[in-house]
Amino acid sequence: MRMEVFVGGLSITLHVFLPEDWRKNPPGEGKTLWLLHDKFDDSGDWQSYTGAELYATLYDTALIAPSMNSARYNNWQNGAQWESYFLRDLWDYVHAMLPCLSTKREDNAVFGLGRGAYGALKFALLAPEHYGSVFGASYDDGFLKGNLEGTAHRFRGGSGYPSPEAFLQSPDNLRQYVETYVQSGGEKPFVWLAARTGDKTYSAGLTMKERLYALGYAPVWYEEDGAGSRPDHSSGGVFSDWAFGDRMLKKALIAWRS
Amino acid sequence: MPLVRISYRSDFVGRKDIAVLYPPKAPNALPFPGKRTETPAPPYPVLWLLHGGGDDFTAWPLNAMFLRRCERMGLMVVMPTIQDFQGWRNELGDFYRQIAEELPEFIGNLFPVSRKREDNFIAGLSYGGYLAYRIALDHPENYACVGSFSSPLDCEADLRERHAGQSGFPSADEIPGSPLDILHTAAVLKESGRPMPRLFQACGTEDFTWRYNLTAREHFRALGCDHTWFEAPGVHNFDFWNLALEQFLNYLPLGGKEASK
Repeated sequence: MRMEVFVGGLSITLHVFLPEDWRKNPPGEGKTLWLLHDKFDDSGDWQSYTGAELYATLYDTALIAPSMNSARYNNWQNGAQWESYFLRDLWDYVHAMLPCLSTKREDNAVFGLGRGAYGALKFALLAPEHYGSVFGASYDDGFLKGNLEGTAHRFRGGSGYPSPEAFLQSPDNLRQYVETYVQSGGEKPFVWLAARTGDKTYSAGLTMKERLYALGYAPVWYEEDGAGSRPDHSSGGVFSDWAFGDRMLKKALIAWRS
Repeated sequence: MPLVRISYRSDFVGRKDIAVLYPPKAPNALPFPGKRTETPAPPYPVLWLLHGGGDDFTAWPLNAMFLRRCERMGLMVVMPTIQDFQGWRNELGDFYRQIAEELPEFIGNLFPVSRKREDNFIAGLSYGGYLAYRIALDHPENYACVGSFSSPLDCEADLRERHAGQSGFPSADEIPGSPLDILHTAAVLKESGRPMPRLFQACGTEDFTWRYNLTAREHFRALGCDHTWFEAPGVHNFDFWNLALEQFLNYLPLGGKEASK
């Protein structure tokens, strides 16, 4: 069963995949996997390129996929507040409209592909009371590299941060923020990362995994040979494709629900 | 606009079907993320709104200006696609039970809607209004009010005069006393003493279903039903149905309060 919801505020499209059985026997505490797409993608791609509708029934889990625009998963300086929208408004909306879904952290997980994996980890650290587990495939925080001022400028919808330092200290600088978070004693979500050795994003995933290890975390790491084949017109390279994303989604569901 | 399009597999017709649902304002609906609005609390009353022949679930949202008002009224609107209004496609599945039984059960299970009789209303235009009457009279325990807009409620006369011999329509001779004969169903229900939904009937004075509406109106009045009639100049189109739906929304017993914008 599939729902497409055109939610107000940011007027985003939300694809919701619910297990077939739920229309007759809705669970009291339905489990939810929130899906975050990669750059250049949207919520409809989960329907087009993955088995999300089937997996919802197979793993008795609601899959909820919002369209998050350019997938930077942050609040723009002068524009849409994607981070707040996902963490607060969408959470409230979905649970108001689908009371069969649980709000417990152990019943909610986030899965992201590429840039979505960055968003998933960031959101889980920003709202640990909501999400107990994070699953990321082809984790991509490549925008954190290079010229700091340029990154600070680009990263917030073109309006930029007041200063590079402000960017560095924000949760958007996730490589740093994981350390800040762990030091603060925040509740650690379960983290699962997957990558392909030939992917452009491989090193980003590896770096994050090692950073988490160094902080005393024990993320589950899965890697396999191969590389994405989708052309990335913004960089001239290639980035993770949906075939890998689909396989990792299924793998994540098995890991989470077993 | 928080419009929800649902694709679900129906057991009664053995295939996927689509319904669209328009919920009242959610806490975060407008105007910006984080800006909360005053909204009625769930569970919400429901208007089951049926389109006419040859159309689908998009008919009402695309042609009528009523959703914002329903939003303010705290009324959930459910608009399914109707595949069959008179049971003529029975060999393909039980389309009647899909709409009359399966859909309310499914929506009621998943969404924050009230299952109480006093919070459930059903209406439709043209043959959708006829189907709304059939459902409400067959399940009077589920609906407080039923409405029809330009609907051939005297189905036998409509079939005899406008659809005789036409493929896709049952024969008028099969109607009297059958489950399709809603005038008969109303009489039996009235006789039984069971609670009867309040009846709202609207028709444009130039509509081709006018005469079938008049005979039905006289029948309901003769039975002593709680019946409300609305007429205005108009033909069989959304100019009139917009007007009729507005009247119907005024007529619904929702406590007379609309939420603030």
